[in-house]
Amino acid sequence: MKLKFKQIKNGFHLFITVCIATACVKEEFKPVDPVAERSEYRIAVVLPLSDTATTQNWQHCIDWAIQNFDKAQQGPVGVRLTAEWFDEDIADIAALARRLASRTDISAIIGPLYSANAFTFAVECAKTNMPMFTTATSEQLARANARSGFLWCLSETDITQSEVLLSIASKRDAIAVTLLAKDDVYGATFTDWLPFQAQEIGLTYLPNETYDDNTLEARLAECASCGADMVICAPSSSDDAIRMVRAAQPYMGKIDFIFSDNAFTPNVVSKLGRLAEGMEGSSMSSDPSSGFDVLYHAMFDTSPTLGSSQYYDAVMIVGLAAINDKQTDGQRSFRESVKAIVSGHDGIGGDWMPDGIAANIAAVKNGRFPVIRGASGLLQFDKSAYTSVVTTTFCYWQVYDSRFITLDYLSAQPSHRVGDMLTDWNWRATHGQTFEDVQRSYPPRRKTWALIVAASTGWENYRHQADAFAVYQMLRRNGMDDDHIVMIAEDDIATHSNNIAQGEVRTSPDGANLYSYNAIDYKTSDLCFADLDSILRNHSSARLNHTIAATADDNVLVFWIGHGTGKGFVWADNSIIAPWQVADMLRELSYDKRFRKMLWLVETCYSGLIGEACRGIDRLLFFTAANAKETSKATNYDTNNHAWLSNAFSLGLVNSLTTNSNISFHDLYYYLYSNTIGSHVTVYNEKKFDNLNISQLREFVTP
Amino acid sequence: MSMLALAGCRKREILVYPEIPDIPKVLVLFPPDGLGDQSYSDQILSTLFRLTINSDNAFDLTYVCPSDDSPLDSIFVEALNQCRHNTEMLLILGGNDSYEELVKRHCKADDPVSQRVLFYDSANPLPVNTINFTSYGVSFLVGAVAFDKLQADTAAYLGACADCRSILYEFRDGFIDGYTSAAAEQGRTVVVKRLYIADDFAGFDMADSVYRMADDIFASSPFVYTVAGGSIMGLFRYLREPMHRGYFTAGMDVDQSHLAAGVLMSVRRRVDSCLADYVTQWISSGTLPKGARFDLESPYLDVSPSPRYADELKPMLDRWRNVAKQREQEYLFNKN
Repeated sequence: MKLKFKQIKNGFHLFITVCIATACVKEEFKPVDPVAERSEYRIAVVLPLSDTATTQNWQHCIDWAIQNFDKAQQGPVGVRLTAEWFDEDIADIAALARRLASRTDISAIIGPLYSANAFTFAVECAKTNMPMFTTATSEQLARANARSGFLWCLSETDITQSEVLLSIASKRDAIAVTLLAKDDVYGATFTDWLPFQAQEIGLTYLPNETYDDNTLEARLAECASCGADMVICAPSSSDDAIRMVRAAQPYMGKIDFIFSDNAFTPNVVSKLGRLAEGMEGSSMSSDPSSGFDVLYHAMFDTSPTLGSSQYYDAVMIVGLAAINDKQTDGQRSFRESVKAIVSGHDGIGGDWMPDGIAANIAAVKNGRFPVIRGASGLLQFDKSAYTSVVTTTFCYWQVYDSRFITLDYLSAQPSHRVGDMLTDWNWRATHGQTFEDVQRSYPPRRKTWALIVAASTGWENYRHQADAFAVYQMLRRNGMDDDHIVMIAEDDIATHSNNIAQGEVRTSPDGANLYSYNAIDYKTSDLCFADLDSILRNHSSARLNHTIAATADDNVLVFWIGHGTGKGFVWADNSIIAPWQVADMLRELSYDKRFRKMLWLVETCYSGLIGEACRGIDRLLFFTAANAKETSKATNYDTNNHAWLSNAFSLGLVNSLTTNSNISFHDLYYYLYSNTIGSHVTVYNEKKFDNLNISQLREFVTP
Repeated sequence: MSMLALAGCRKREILVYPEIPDIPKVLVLFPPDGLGDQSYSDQILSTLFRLTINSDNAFDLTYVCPSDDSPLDSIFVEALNQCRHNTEMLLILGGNDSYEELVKRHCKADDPVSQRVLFYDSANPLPVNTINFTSYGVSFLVGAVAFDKLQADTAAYLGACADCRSILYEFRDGFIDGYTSAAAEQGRTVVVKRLYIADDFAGFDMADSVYRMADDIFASSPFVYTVAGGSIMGLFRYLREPMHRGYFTAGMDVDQSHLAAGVLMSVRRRVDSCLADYVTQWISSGTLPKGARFDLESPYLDVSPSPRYADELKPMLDRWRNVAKQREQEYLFNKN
């Protein structure tokens, strides 16, 4: 039918042409809007629209970008961008995400703003490969979706904001800092990274607990009284920022408070009135050299707000991707067109103004992809993951006379990262330990035993059991038999309904299957901490039929992976195993000569707490993924299974053992220390153990 | 036949797309890291941009703001080449000693391109069109009003450096003369301390150092006249702290009264307005000034009181303005 209609139309066209050629013709010049004739590319904009002032600001940005993109093109051949707006502040955000991600008339989604909503959208966009541009700054969102090819983060994550806040603290001559952050996805980035960064910067970090809706004021009081010079406040909303400022009044003048970007809203100043005076903090901004803020103010007679320049840039990238899409006649997917734009490698291109956009359009039409000079700054994305821009400018603001003033512009030190071009989560520690030469003599080793503990359960903790299986398989490859390995794991992930590769467990999406049903001796939930003592003491029973029968001539390896808090290990039933409990157990085992040497490799948050508690116990060595104040970090997110597959420390451990099992403890430390991202791998009790330069890991991982 | 008649009655529509006219271009080369200064670079960009929107004389505005470590030489040469290839382009730059050197190296007075280069804020002879703003008169005015307001026996001049830029002498001399003249009028003798932040250009970007110095400086002088670029932000930070009420300074280049309550007044150097006037003139007549110099008599220079002190300071400013103008002429005459 469609073909027939086309033929008729063509026939009619031919007829008219003939008539015109033969008849007298009255010519009429009809002005045409060339923009209307261009190919439409629709953008869905998903932002919280309840705040009308901020919404108007965002609308200015999106409309301005669209107008400038139109202006940068000439004639009717080209692309026409249109925006369709959706409110992020709705009850069923998941339904909206599903609906938009599956719409074929939408080329890309800009937003949402909040990290939790961005996570929801990312899940749906991953399924349909819908390009998504966000300014949500959760580290986990960006890291989970790195290399996935559909998510583009237009600012660095809050890892960088955390660094910026610490650098302000350092500039303000603070010596000790603490953090007030919420127990949610926004606060998690600060909780995970600020303690690590504080140590790197040379500041003392004093830990405090996270807050929830009921404990904000109490936690703030604790922070203000903990001995820190400065409290770094990471409110999860502007309302939380307002509560913080009110609660901080008794401490003003005695201790400094500095706020993250959620306090940088006009709402905070208007609601707090004079209490807001003197507030300081950081927020992402545009690179001042782009001139965006100045021109925005000149254009709209108001200042841009959070994310303005980033949203402008998102529209511009979609437009250039649309040009690329048209050039290739749709032979590549739209997200591949986006990727081509953001992976620019042909020098520095034009800027965000019409002339600059026109230059970029011309380049793309000629098959060249320069790095774009955006409104927010240079739109240079990480060369390995592409997901995030490499550098974001932050402003250091203060409230003065009821308005925000910019004191300075700051950006993070890219030298902290593995490479200057890499995204901000690739931050490795640089302040390592040194070890003294300790002289110890031991009887010859007879056997090696191993206890592997995956202390958590559930699909969301997939990575813990996966790493436990990886260690188990590594020991088996080294020749250790099952009788000498006791493995405790819940065994609830291989056949979990979420697992798209049923019966398999991996530590990387393309890695080998590590699962072995026969490896597991006990389900975690069937045991308690006292049972571990029995297993290590060879107190076998009908229930505990596989134990460690080590003697004073045998080495024992313990690999423990799971969750940790500031109070100790977390067991499967969410009970806490206090550091002193572990220390008491190990002290007795040492005293009773239940091992020749014992090595604990621990992958939990705050694992250094256990190491600290066990100092002084003879013949015992601890390697922990993090020190006593830090979280450890997950790695290798599987966008198909929606799970983190491994942990940075454990992955490095298995990798190093696979390549060189003769590695000395000294070298192992430096390998793990320099390859574990986002925490300080720490060694405890080496003076009561052995010379780390000479003794090797081999004596714990071979029969 | 009927078909032909039908056809004859049809109109032939010829689609006409709007012509895109060639309009003049203005390219502004800002000092390295100049934008974001919340001072005159930002104001220049803002004013010229507004001119593109509101002016009857349409023009395209483009600008470049290099970073501190950018290759200025190649950026300048590229800008000059663009200007050479487009006879409808005006290149505006200035506010930076490095650009002066580049202009001296790459431009010749008899080259037609040099006639379309406008350099702002330079008192030195250059082979391009220049505009310059004197600083003695406004500084005299600040000094005189500061004394009238505070009646303090001691004040301080805080310069970025002692000898790194000759333009600083005018600021320093004007302020000292203004302050001492106002005191002399009342038969009093006062001391104006001369303080410097650094030995070289680094003094223009040492806000943290200035913040740390502020306690010592204000210990003996309730008013400090700071001529030190971005370093003045350190002084503003100090003055914003509630315990430092009672100390004062003057804003520089633009109205900076919103940055601290202690900003009594601001030196207004309307480089932006001046450039906007010349862009308009260039578009309409193709001409530009040769070595224009603007003093306190011009509409581009003045001192404005901060709103919270306006009632008190405005009469003082009015009283001293003519004196300042006269003393500026004498100073410039003697200098030349």
